[in-house]
Amino acid sequence: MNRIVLVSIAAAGSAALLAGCTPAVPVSGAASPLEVTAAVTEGQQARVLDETFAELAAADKAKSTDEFDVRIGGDAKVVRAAEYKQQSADDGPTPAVLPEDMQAVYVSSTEVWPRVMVGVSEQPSEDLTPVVSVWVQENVDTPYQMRSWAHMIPGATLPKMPGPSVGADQLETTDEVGGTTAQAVMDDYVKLLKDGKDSDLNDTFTEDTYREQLFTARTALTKTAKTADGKYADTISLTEDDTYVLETAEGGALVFAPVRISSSLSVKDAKVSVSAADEPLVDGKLVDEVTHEYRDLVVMYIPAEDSEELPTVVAADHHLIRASPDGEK
Amino acid sequence: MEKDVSLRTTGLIAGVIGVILLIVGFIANSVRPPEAVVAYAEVDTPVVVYDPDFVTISPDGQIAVEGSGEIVAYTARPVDAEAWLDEASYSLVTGLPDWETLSTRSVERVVASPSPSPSPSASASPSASPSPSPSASASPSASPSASAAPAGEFIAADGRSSDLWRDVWTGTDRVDIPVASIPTGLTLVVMSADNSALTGTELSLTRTINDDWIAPLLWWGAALLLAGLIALVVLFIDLRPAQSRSESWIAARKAGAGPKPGSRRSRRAEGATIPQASLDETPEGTESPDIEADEATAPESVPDDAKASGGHEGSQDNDRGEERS
Repeated sequence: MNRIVLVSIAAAGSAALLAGCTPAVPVSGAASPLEVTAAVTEGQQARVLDETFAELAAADKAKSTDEFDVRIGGDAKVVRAAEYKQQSADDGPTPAVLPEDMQAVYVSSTEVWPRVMVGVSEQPSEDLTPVVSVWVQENVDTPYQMRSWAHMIPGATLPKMPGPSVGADQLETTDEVGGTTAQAVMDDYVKLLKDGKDSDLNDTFTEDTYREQLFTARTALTKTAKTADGKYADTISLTEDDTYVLETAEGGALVFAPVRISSSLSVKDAKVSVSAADEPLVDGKLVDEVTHEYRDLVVMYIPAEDSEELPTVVAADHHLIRASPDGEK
Repeated sequence: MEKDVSLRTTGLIAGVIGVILLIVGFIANSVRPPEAVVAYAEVDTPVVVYDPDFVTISPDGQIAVEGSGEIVAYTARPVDAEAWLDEASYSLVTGLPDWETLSTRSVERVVASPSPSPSPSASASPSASPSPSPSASASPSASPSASAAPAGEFIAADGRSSDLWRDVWTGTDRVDIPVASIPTGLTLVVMSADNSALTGTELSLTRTINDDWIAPLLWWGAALLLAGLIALVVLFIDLRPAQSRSESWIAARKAGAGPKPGSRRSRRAEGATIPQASLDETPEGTESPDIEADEATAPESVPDDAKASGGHEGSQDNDRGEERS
């Protein structure tokens, strides 16, 4: 009996001691902040870039955009398709070289969609400037997709951007930046393109070779039309829904604005023609009227409000995608 | 005798306490809960989600999810994971009600069409130009393809993009993810590659138990038990003969014969003491020279009495010398 009591007391004591020594069930605390606040990490960037250029390489090999499955779309797919057409002609030009190696990748820190990612490539060759490419993710279920690209304007410099682990603020086109908005700046630039170099707006932007090219072409075509007793007209428009804005490190902004240009030339008592390189892009039979359609990308730098710099086009390309007698379909 | 009994009783009491301590120690040792704990929950959805706050419970632990076939675990920004989960049925691990159980909350969603069909307009619209030839070029679509091809280990489940995923772990029938390898602040989303239901998830934890007292308790118990055993053994041994002999010896020492003849004790017993010099016999004013003369001529000039006395002194010195030695 005494032994039973003794063991019972010992057991109870042991249990009590152990109960006091066993810690309570832990509860969750607050997690540390994210180490990489950008929408994509460098690893994610690398996956997107690798897959993009793998698709591009396959398409270049097949000379067909049928190979574009996931990573290339939008204007980039349209423009590349036009380049493949041009390449298919005898002595046709080779498609633009888009280097896989990047000098920098600008990512967004936004938590909403669509999201943008921008790559600045190495220089493709000695006589070509680096390529600025834009990837867009429409929503969480769709992949980042290269939508457009443009070569840098010779002599232009891209502004400093937030680091890749932080990411840049992705702004709306109507958000104030540099004392104005991206929308207002791009509207002014498009107006300048329409009005020509005599526009009052010409002095509000740094000179760039893109608009010089447009103005030169317009002058030549206008002269041609006048000579042939015809007409020349062009329309220039922004695709605002596909315009993206990233805030720079100094409080300015980089605007990635697709621009659509349609230029129509008509003549009387004559026949229009296009260059041999553009011949594969002719859609229809050209007689006395031809309309060239372009899908361009303009990358505009808007400096911070306290800067004395002017808004500057830092990259732009003029991509012909179609020539037809009846204009845009 | 009373002192011996008291020591023996104390030893026995110490032994009893030692036994109690040992019993308590061994029971505590045997019922001590394991430090490594696995909390488990059954699930029946194709996706299991751990939010970034919850995984702070066990920073050194490991998360495992079981199912059949290939299982993939991803991390994503919480806002991205939340957007992705809007179109998925999933089980969110919400808590740890006890050490062995995970609590979960199932969220059922009607999954939308996995791959919205892209709409490339391939129709060749007739040209408005007088030319009868239709356009041979297909109008390209600007809409993105919604089906992402598998990219390495990142699987586009249900044709949905995998671009939101940052880290990936894969396994067959079971995937294990060390919590320490999950970047802080990210949501963990585990799914079956074929959209089949997962069966369970577990989180391994380390439970820190304050059991440092058990080993000392056992050692103390053993020591006291040993003392008690010694006391018990002594209890059964008859020490009375030895005690009797010891007491007799002591008594004999106390009540034995007189001192050995010629020894110091015998001389003391006979009354021999250190001789006392008479100060009166020494002439006044001649103290120092007499002493010097006596010392210088001591071997020849000392009278018999004095010799005897001196001999006694010498003997006394010798005795002192013996005492010193």
